[in-house]
Amino acid sequence: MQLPLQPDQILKDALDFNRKITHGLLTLRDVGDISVGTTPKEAVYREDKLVLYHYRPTVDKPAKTPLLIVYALVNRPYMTDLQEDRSIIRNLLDHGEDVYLIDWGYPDGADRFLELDDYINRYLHHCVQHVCKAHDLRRLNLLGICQGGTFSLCYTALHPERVANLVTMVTPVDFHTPNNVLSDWARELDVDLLVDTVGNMPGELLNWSFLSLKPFRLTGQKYADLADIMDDPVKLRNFLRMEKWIFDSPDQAGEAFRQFIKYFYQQNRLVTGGLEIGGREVSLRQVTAPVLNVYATEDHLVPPQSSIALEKHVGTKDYTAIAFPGGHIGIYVSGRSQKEVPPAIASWLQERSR
Amino acid sequence: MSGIEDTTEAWTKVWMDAQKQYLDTWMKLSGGSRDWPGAPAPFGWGGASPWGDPLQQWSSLMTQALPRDSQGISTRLFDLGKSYLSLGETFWHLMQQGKGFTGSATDWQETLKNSLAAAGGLGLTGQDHVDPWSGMATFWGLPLNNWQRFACSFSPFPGEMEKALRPESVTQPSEMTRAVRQMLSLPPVGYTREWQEQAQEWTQLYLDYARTLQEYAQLLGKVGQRTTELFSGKLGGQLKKGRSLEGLRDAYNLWIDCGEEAYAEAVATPDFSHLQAQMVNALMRLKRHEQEMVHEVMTALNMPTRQEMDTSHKRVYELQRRLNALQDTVENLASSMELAEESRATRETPHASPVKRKTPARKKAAAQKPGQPKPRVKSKTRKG
Repeated sequence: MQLPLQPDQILKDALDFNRKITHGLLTLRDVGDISVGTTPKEAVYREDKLVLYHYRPTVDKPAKTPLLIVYALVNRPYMTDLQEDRSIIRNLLDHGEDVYLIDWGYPDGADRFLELDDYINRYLHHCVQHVCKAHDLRRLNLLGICQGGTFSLCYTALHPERVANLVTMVTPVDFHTPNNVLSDWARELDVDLLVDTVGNMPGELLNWSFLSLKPFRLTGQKYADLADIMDDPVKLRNFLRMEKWIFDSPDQAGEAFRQFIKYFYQQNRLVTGGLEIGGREVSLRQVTAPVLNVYATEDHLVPPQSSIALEKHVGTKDYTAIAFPGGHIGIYVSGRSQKEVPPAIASWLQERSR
Repeated sequence: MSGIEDTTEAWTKVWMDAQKQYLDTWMKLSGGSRDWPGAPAPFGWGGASPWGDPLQQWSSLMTQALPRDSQGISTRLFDLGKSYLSLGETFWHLMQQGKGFTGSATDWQETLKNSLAAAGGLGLTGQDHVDPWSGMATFWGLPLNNWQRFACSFSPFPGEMEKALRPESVTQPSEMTRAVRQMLSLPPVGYTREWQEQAQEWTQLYLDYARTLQEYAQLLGKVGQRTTELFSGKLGGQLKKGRSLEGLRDAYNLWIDCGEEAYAEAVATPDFSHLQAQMVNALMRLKRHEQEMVHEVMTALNMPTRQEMDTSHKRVYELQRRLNALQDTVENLASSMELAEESRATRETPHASPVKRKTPARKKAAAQKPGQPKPRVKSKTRKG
């Protein structure tokens, strides 16, 4: 009977693993601190902890209508500009877009009472006003990512006159589709007790939820793979950048988190109706601007069906969907996404600018 | 197959010799010395895991020398290393015993399954697999291990306190738990009775949290058992087809695949969502009560409290909202006045040219660099 694995081979592999880790530590010692966000940018507007950045165009004549990127409150927006060769922003700039990005900052105890109304009708609205004023325009293009996409949908529904074109990327819309594990976990959570107790939602708790979706891969196997690349400083730095982003989790303003969990995850109001933000009803039927919906087919955080549902509910007559064959993270940073997603977005926007 | 213990000594000797050679070489290469304060001896370690203990000490020394950004990752890497090598050790034992096996592939699969079950699953060598906490340093303990790290960082009480309550079973509370619950039923008396009530309630909430945590751990324990079943089945399937594993990493990757599959089956059940939510809710109830107790103490000491801070923050926030609303009103009024002024000026000077309002320039297609690839992603457009 043939053994599945020879004992000598196991010992050899174990020693090899040991060697990789110990030598890798020497490389790790020498890589220094990790930098992110390499594309030149300028802070053009600040409000409380929010900073609005304008990226320096890389073409002589960028698009007349600027593109404002609205990232999620969860994790940091530098994922869109992680490094020179993995940057959605740099690619959009190279394809002629004039790009702005909202950095929501790190909320602390003083921000605990911020509501969705503040994020959407105040912070986001003020950024839109600022960009429009700077370009002497009434409308701009919005690119909302993940939760930022949900915010962008709400904003477009509430302020349709301000949005020329809307792009949503890996955006949850229907929170009650099958296989939405995060949504299942949130259903029975006593979010009132949680927020009344902790105030702001700790980033660590959110991270625990995300890692718990695939615990064996995300907290185990990933580091076994790391051992294989530790002697390569370039690959190691790339890994460390991603690792830095994953564990760079801002706390969530308590009231906004309470509303987001209740209204969206528990009650699914964005598609079932009854969603009010700042005392005004939010209806996806009010989203009449052209919509490009980009989703990832292997997304474990935002199931594709949750994003695809947008088509049924949105009011626009100009709706395009793009299915990217990859996961929630890969859509920002994979080599394939760099080649395919930003050009597709830029092309779609430019077709509607003519 | 008998006696995983029989091969322990052999494994330790082989591993120690290899480690000794490797460490000697590494020390020479890195220019270090084994004589630093508190340094582990590179061989001759005792304990259940000849690899894990020195690795842990080694990692704690190395981690301090690393840049800040890399310290967290080295900790996670060493955690993985311990699990990985633990798997290697267990697998080595199994293969050593299998050397003389003469049965069929089916027999081997069954033997492997039984051996793994006896060991409590890969990485659980010699531990009691009935205890759901016994695998906390191993693969299927990961979700719970992550939670424990979070919960400990979130509570003023040490993790050791929770460990003391682990013997509690959901159906059969331990002697300690029974004693604590009996104590809780005593009526508070005397001058400090209110504080006694608070302490009793806190203890009750702590026991409730410990119970939900135990239930969650037991559910994850089933993931471990299921992982072992899947692993034995898939490995056996490969053997029947005449395939073997290429190395330890192959075995590890297969184990991870099985773990994720078993975990996915578990999390898809309503029980899992329910238990997880109950665990978080129980921790929050406990934490809330702790806050109330701390608030009372701080108030008695005339110190500022979280409650007061929240009140202040809320007032500042509400003032800011009112200010924003006023600012919007003022801006709207200013715009209205400007329009009215323009209108009046036009009426009073009918021959004057109207005020020019800027209009957006004609839209042009943005410049695109030559040679850029066209998108290949699959898309669908609806146009009305």
